[in-house]
Formats: sequence, C-alpha cells, structure tokens
Amino acid sequence: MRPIYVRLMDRLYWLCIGIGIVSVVCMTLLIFAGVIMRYIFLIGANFAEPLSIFFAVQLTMYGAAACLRAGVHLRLTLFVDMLPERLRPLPMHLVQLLLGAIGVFMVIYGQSLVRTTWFQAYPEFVYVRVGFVYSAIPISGLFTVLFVVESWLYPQAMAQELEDEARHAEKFAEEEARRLTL
Amino acid sequence: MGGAFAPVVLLGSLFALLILGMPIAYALGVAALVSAIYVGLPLEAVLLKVSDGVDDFALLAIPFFVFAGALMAEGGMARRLVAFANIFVGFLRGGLAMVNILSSMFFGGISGSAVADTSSIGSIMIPMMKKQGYEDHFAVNVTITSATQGIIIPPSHNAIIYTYAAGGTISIAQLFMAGIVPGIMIGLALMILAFVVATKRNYPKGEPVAIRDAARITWEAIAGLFTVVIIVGGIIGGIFTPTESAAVAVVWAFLVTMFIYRDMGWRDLPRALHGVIRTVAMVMIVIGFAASFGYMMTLMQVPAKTTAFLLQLSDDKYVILMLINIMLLVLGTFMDMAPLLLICTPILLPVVLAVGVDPVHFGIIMMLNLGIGLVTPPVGTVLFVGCAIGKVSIEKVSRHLWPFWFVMIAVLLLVTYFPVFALYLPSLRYPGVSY
Amino acid sequence: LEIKSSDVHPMGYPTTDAIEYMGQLLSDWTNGRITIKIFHSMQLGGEKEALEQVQLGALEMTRVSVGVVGPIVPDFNVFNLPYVFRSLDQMHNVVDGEIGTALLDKLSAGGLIGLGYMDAGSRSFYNKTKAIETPADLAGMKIRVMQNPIFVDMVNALGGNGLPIAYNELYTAMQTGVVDGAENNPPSYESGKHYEVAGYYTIDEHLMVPEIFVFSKKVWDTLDEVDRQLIRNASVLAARKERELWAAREKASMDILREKGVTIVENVDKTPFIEATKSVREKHGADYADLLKRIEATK
Ligand code: NA
Ligand code: NA
Repeated sequence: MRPIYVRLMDRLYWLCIGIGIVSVVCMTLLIFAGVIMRYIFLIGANFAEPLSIFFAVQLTMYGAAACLRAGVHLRLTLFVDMLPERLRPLPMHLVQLLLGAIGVFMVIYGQSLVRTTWFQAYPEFVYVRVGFVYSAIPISGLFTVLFVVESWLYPQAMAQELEDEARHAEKFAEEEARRLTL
Repeated sequence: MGGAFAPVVLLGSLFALLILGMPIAYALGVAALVSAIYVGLPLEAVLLKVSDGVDDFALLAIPFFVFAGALMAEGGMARRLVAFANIFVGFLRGGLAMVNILSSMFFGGISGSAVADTSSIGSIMIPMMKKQGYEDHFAVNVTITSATQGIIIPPSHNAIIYTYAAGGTISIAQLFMAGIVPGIMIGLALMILAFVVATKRNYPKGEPVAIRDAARITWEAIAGLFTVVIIVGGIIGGIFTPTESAAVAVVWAFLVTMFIYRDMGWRDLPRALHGVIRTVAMVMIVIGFAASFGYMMTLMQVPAKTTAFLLQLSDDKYVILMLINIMLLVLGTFMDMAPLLLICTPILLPVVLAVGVDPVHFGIIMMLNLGIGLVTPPVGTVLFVGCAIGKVSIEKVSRHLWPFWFVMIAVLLLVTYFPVFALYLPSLRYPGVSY
Repeated sequence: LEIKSSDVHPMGYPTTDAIEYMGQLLSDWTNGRITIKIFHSMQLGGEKEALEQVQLGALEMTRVSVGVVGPIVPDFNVFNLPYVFRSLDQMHNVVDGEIGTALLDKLSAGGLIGLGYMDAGSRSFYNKTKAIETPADLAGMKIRVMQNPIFVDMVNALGGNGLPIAYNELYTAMQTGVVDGAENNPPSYESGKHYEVAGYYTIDEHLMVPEIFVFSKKVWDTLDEVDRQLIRNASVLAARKERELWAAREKASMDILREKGVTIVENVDKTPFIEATKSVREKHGADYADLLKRIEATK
C-alpha cells in the first residue's frame, strides 16, 4: 500500500496530465474547426486563436509540474555523475530546494499577477479573463511545491510507473519487429 | 541596467545551476529570478514572461507536431516506413543501414524530432541489424546520426522554435523549404559512408521486394506520408498557417492510424496522449522560462554587447560564421537543442545579420550544428536514447562515432559556406531571397 | 533615471523616432539625469506583454495601439469602429481635446499614466482584382482583417468576407488567392510589398485608429512633481513630432506606390461606405453611445 501522501500526489499528477490532455484535444478541434469555417463556410473564426493559446498556457504549466514529478525534464547530469557516490545527494537536495523555492515564487508572485490582470478581458474573446489565463502559474506553482515535498519524503514514488513505461516500450518494439518482414 | 556585473549574475547563476543538475527550464527561471532581484525588477515581470513566452499562436504548431508524431509512432508508422524504404535501398550492400537512413528521412519528416525518430526507427532497426551481423555500435551510430535529419527536413518543431526565437520575423515556409536540400545531403552523405563501411566489412545485402508487395507497402506508407504533405504543402502553399497545417495533420494522422492502419485501438489513446503531454510540456516550459531569461538578457543588453564584441574580432562573414560554428559545436556537446536555440538566436542573429548572412540560411546552420551536438558525447539526448535502445555502452558507440561525425561536419561546412544549398529552393518562390 | 521604453516597431519608424526625440529633450533639460532607453522591434515582447510590464512597473514606458488598452478602459474600443472619424482633423481635435484627455486619465485605474496620442494613419482597402469605387465593388471579396470581431463585421457589412489571418502569412495568402485583399495604411502596404500581389488601393479611410504612449503609474508615483512635469512636456513635443514624421512617411510611401504603378483610387465618395457600416457602429458601439455622440459633435 502506497502512503496516503503519495496516493494524493498520484491523483494530482493525473489531474495535471488530464488538464493537458483536455487542452491538447480542445486545441486541435478548435483550430481544425477554424480551418473548416474559413474554407467551407467562409467565416473567420475569432475564437480559435485566443482560446487555443489559453489551452496552451494551461497545458504547459500543469504539464511541466507533472514532468517534474516524473523526472523527465531535460537536465545535465554529467557533472553530478562525476562526484563520488556519497556526495551526490548534496546537489540533488540543493536542486530540490531551489525547485521548491521557484514553486513558492510562482505561488506568491503569480497570484499578484493574477490580481493585477484579473479585470482585463481579451479583446477577441471577452469571456476569458487575462488573469484566468495566468492563474495556471500560482496553481501549478503550488503543485510544484507539493511534488517537491513528495520527492523529499518518498523519492521512489514514480519508479514503478517509469519501469512499466519502459517495459511497454520494449514490448511494443518487439511486436513491431515481429510484424515486419524485410 | 544593473551595471556591468548584472550579466555575470545572470549567466553565472545559470551555469552553476546547470552543473548542479537542475532541470534546464527551471535553471533558466531561477537565473532570471536571481538577476531580477539583483537589479531590483518586479518579480511578477519574470513570471509574466513565462506565460507570455508560450502565449504565441505560431508556437501552437509544436504540440500538434508532437501529437501527430506520437499517433504515427504508436500506430505502426515506423514499421511501414521501414518497409517502404526497404523497397528502394534494401537490396544494396549494407541494405539495412541504408533502410535505416532512408526511413529516418521519411519518419523525421513526420515527427520532426530526432529523439522520436531514434526510439521509433531505432527500436525496430537496431535489433534487426544486430541479428544480421552488423556490429552493434555501427547500428546505433547509423540510427542516431540519421535521426538528426528530421530536425531540418520539414516539418520540424525546431524550425518553429528558431523563428520564434528570432522574434517571429522569419517565414516558417521559407525555413521549411530551405531545410529540404541540406537534410537530404546529410542522408546521402551518411548512405555513402554506410555503403563504404558495409563493403569493407562485407555486411549483407537484402532481397529485392516483389512488385505486388511493393504496391501494398507503398500505399500504406503514402497514407502516412501524406501527413507531411499536409503540413509542408499547407504552409508553403499558403493554404494554412503553420499552426493550422499542424492541426489538420493531427486529424489526418488520427484518421490514418485509427481507420486505415488500425494497429492502435481506442484503449491505446490515453497512453499515447500521456506521452504527448509530457513531451509537449517539457519543450514548452523550456520556451517559457527561456523567455524570462531572454527578457533579462535583453534588459541587460547582453545581445547588443555580444554583437559589438564579436564584430570587433572580425567583420568578415566567413570568419564570423566559423567562430559561431565552433562555439555552437562546443555548446551543443553539453546542452540540448531547444534551450540553445532559444538562448543563442537572439544573441547571434544580430551579429550575422550585421555581416550580411541571410537569417533563413543561419537558421539551417544552427539546426544542423546543434543537431550534431545531439549525438556528440559527453551529453547528447539522441546518443543516450540510441545507446539505451541498442543496449550498447556510450563509450563504445562514441569511440566509433568519428567517421559519422566527420561526414556531418562536412555537410555543415558545405551548407555554411555555400548558401545555395539552403537558399536555392526558397529563392524559386520568394523574390526577396538570393544567395 | 533611465526610462525603459518598449515598441514593436524598429528604429527609424515615426513612433520610435519620436520617443528617441523625447529622450533627447529630457536628457538636454536635465543634463543627462533623465534618459530614455528604447527597446525596439519587440525585443521585450509584443504590445500586450509590454503593457503588462508597464502595469507591473518592470518597464517605465511603452507605445501601444488602443486595441491593447481596450480591456483596461473599454471606452478606447470606440476608436476601432469604422468611420468613427470623418477626417484626420476631426480625429486630432478629439484626441487633443477634452475627450482625449479624459480617456487618458481613465487609464490610471489600470496602473497606467496616459502621456499622449500618436498617429498611425488611416486604413484603406487593397486587393488583387479590381479598383474599388463603391461598397458594391467589394461584394464577395475575401478581405484579410485584424483579429477582432468588429473588423470582420465591418467587411461583411460592406458586402465582402472578412477573414482574420496572421499578418506574416498575408503576402502568400494573397498570392495564392486564399484572400483577395486586405486593408492597411499606406506605409504598411508599401513596406510589406503587398502591392506586388495586390495592386489596387482605394483610399476609403475606413479606420483611423490612433496609438497611445503610456507611463507606469508604479514608477510615476515615485517621481517628484518637477520630473513629472518635464516628462509631460516632453510627451507633448514628442507627440507633435510623431505627427510630422508620420505625415512625411505616408507621403513618401504614396510616392513609391505611384512610382510602382499601383492603381490608386483617391477622393472616393465615403458616404456609401459610412452608411453601409452604420450597423457595425450601432452593434459594437452600443455601450458607448454617449461618447460616440460627443465625437460626432466635434469638428
Ligand atoms: Na522534420
Ligand atoms: Na535512423
């Protein structure tokens, strides 16, 4: 049984991924609809662009928090790997601390940004508040902090999932190779 | 702003954080925050840039490229393209190596990502090559170097990132057209190399493909390759904007994988989408934080100062390009492509514009150069993925990389010093382009 | 005090040159104590981003189109209505007078100090097929407009099809016939080389949208009264300078267009255009009826 905090973080992770999936699907449909409207119905679709940009911002911010938990962000491990084994946790903890700090920054200054721009509406699409777009910054910042705390308490939380993914990829490759005859 | 020491704070903290192993995106963000505190800028402005950095309609093509690429990969596109490439080059000496390179040319077009290409084509081709007696390091090296074609053969999300980093002033259509010839040059050069090595080591030939099989294979491959036609044709023909083309291509890729190929079921979709979200978020957050970082660089006038400095060294076009190429090759061995494009383009573009280099040509030079960085040790994403798939050590692969590296450098130099390779195609269509 | 000012245009453009002139004035008056550093060509981002940075106090100044401040002070949206001004003189009288000043004052609620207005010319139609003399000539034509429902409705009201597509795709879009034409001021039409693919230009002046330059209220509040007055004075002179520069630029562009053999329809009768777009002013101007009346009453 996984600890309760880890299970909570699992939920949060899938919430982030879910927001991302909804965003990318909506973006595709919106822009595709815009093209159809222009070519078939000869009307310009004003909503497609600002709305898809809104979704792109959400996808980026929440998706990035999820990537942090899964440990898939691009990073340079060369120098850390050169350290002797027992010293390696040091830079790792420092990085976690800084990631936590940037999460806190995102929460504090992000919500001040949201307040500054809350009453501004997009010219093309009055229902989307500029501040609402930016709300992804403080909220995903909060998620970042929670994920950093998890990585401190339970460093191996995602290990199983990553292993499963790797195994799936290998199986998929084998299957593809089997079906291919040259 | 903030005196002479401010750029040192900005760049110094970035390097320190990268060495510590911090994710590149967040390292850019923390460096921007630290220097904003140093010069007393409101910190909201830094965060504002993160969101505004991705708030750009042209960038929306990136999620769609990734999405279309993932649908194709999970739907069995790689396998079909390998079979398709086999028709043309499989029967030659070292046929599988040629097939590997040619299918990368096709697949790289669709996915636009060298990593996706390495994992899709590589996971099929490397085991197959090993089984037929190719050395494992050779199989991996062929895979990873040919995968870099995808970066410049259109469509390419790196081309989108370059035009974005250049301030949106460069036409994506022109950049796409400019990438075709250099991309094919890399492929041809690698094929010649592979043929020479195969003859020397007596690697096997494949069987010619029967006409009836060839027809079926071609039909299946063309359905998938039409994705590229939609994107590239839509953009170059001015029918769609790049973003629209990419979205239409996603819809097409979806229809092909679900209703023509039918390798992938509805139940496989969430897994594919999960991967898409992670890849997209990873790239986009780098763009976001790089925008904050770039904002601080501009306020501190780092680009302007670098331009002045480099032009002081020389105002000769060829010398400047050589200096930049060497610098990028070195940086590329440590850093990934997207962050380098985002950080270096605003700094270097004014320099090359000042000595009369075409910005489209320079984009191709940068992408070729940084593409080489992806396979060069010590740090190369494509190298790492290739070694993991081939189950060969990085040391062993790297020891045998040099002939491939040499070939790629040769193409880079040709494209750098003979702009005609990049600019001939765009010049046919755009009156302003000359070489 | 170094004033950081942002603009999307490159140096050598009327707006950037006017701000540069403003910096020279301030520097002369204060012996170099106050200067302006211009970040041109979108170095610090587009208009919306620059405006938000000014609101936050990260930038001191920026020059933007009124479309971008519409979300902060909706009254500015009236400038986006077709034929809200009958002539350039009327526009100048409105923005230089009480109405213009009152609008700038409203910006302080959004953390901005409105310094003044700049000219951005009048927008007119161009297309690749024929000379447009009356709205009837626009029938069925696909015209590219900026991303805003008002402009789509405007073209539709005139009988054409308004299509919002990105500016940097426009040249190819006209070349390949995705759209038949577009609308813009003479300098943009000329410098974008759009006359190469769309050689008919009708000076119907359907839109006359001024631009504004604003100062950060956060920073303004830290300045003493003397410096504020110096900045105000320099702004007035900069705005005047910009008008001259703009007029000169527009004339230069028209000369080039004539030289290139563009078919230019001048002295067009605006009345049918004004009448055809009445519904657009009524629909999108409903919330500003009073303001519209006061503008109309201005000579
Ligand atoms: Na590609
Ligand atoms: Na390959």
